[in-house]
Amino acid sequence: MDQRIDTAAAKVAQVEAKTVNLGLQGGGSHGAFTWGVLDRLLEDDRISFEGITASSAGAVNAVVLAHGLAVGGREAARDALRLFWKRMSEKTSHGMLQPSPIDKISGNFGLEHSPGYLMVNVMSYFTSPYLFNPLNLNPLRTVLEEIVDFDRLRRRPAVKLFLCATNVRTGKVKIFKTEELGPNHVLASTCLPLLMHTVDIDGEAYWDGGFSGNPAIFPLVYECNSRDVVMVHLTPAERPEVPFTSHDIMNRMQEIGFNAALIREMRAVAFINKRLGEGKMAEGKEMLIHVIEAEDVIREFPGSSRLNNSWDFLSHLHEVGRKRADAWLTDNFVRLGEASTVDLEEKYF
Amino acid sequence: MGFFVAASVLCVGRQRWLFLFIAAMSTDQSASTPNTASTRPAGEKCINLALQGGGSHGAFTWGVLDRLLEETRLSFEGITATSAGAFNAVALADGLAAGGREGARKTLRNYWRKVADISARGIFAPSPWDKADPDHGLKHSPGYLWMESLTYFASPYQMNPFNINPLKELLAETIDFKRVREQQLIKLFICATNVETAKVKVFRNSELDVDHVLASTCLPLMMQAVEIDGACYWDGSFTGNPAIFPLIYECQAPDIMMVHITPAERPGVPKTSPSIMNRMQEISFNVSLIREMRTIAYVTKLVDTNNLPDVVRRYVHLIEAEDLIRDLAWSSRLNGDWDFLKQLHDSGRARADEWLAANFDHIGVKSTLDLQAKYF
Repeated sequence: MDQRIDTAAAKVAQVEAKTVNLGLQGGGSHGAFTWGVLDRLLEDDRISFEGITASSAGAVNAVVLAHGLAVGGREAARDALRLFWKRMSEKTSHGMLQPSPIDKISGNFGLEHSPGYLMVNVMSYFTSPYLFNPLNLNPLRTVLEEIVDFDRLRRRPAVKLFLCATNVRTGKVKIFKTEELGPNHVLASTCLPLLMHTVDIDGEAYWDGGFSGNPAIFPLVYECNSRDVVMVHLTPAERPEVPFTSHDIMNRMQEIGFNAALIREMRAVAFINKRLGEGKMAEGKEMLIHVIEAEDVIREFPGSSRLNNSWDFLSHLHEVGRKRADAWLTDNFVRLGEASTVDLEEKYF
Repeated sequence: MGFFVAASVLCVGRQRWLFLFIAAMSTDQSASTPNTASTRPAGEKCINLALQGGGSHGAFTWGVLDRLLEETRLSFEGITATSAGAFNAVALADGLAAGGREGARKTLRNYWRKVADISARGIFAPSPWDKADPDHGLKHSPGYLWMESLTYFASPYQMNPFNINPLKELLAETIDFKRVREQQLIKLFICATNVETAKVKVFRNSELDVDHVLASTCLPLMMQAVEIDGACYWDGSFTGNPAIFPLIYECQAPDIMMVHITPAERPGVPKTSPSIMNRMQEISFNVSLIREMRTIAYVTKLVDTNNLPDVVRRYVHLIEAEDLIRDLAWSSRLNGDWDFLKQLHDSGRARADEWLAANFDHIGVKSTLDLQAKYF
């Protein structure tokens, strides 16, 4: 491709800012990759955000970003995100989910050799969080309450938030919107049922949004004007080897489960886009899908690394996220508002 | 420990009762019956079927099919199916090709009878305490408890390194897959999950064999992944329980009859590890279907407002056992006790009977299921 044309086009585009929506997946500590992506996107003032749909760690990033934007704009949002991840790392650095010296040497950021992880892992098969954590202690709540001013977020939202959780009773996805958000809604979206108590909101119990929408796309279709959706993928859909041990099999079962709803929803988006493209649909909204991901990097980390909050690991992911976002901006900024930059059929069919 | 497990499994493997929780079998007689029906049975109305998985709970679906097959005003074009639904679908197609409606009913009955025979000899046989418990679980069965605790630590690759799966042998011996492949009465769509890509894979008539049905039923903590043409597959329920799009893209009949056996709704919050894991799996096994039904509702609205002039209007119907299955233990999915299967079968027949009486006239005319209420 001719580099000069790209640069010229980018210069023209600088004049008009582009408004996009974000779709942020969950993935525990891997959410630091998303932090890196957001950090880089926030630096680029040609891009602004209309709606963010998010699950689990994505929901946490979304709320912290929205809080920062509301109190002081782009720089405040970047600061809030950094502070959040820094505080999470500090809060959990005295906990039992520490990488052991062997884990540190292995370089894959897993916790397979951490006594605390092994204990929690084995315990979760036999005792539920209702038994081993009866007081329901959760450091995330403390850090969220410390950093995010929910009252302000609800009253003067800078961006439309759609946080996804799973209704335990019905199995359906529940979308929490900006005007109702508090720490409980964020915790509901991140509730891994074998590690935490369900979160009760208005008489219903909720689990992690990853089960039923990781994240759900339809709120962006129905409630936002921008047609662009920039997806930040964390859950590896593709993993080119078949798991062999029970631990790996369970991890892969969860990954597949956490991708199922998104894949089916993207097929629907592709169906509508195709009809519109062929002129076989009188009216409708073509959604433009973009993906920033690190499947190749994340695939190399074991599932247990989702619980690794060591600052080394988080900064590493943040750096990878920044680089991927940077490369993505260079390649795709000019096509925002014009076309999808990912082949939906190839990615989701 | 791995060695110990492998050795003990080899011992039990000889007795051929390992993993026999949903075995497929029809009799040798039915397999050798000449093909007497080569044309689609005449019916006033033609529908498609969508059959969910659920292990032994598939006997409810058998009951539904048993009743629908009696109804000569009704015929079937396509069947999309997953896991236990896939067994029912293949047995129905084989039997239909061999001996028409009665042949299909017979093959289905033989298959489930055989499941009971084999499971009575297996490790998952309910104990007397289980039989006395109305939830039909296996929580007092020594074999089930042994297996359940084992799966947390030893994978099927370690427990069963030679991948002994008597289900495979039985399927090959009893279902005539050549006849299934060649028959043109029913379009079959068997769903499995590609382990490496996390996407749904749909197998169709001309390629169907034992392995494709096994792939559709492969619970990954109990069986090794099934390899077909270099790709590895797990149970279709992870990605489509079942997938509906094949019926829309490849069938003419506008009616889709769903048979639900995975409870979407379950009141109360699970608080023990097994019940949490059970509910996590139930939710996962419904997610794709719920999202696909939302799409169907959305597209239907567009069709009704003339936004999609060339798309056929679809009608969705449902026969379900949610209320019955909700009261059963998760482990009852592995319970192949004949009394239990028979009871599910009878419930299935009764539900199908009620449905026909109330809704037959609506087939081809309107949906009898409120998609908005059920899936939104």
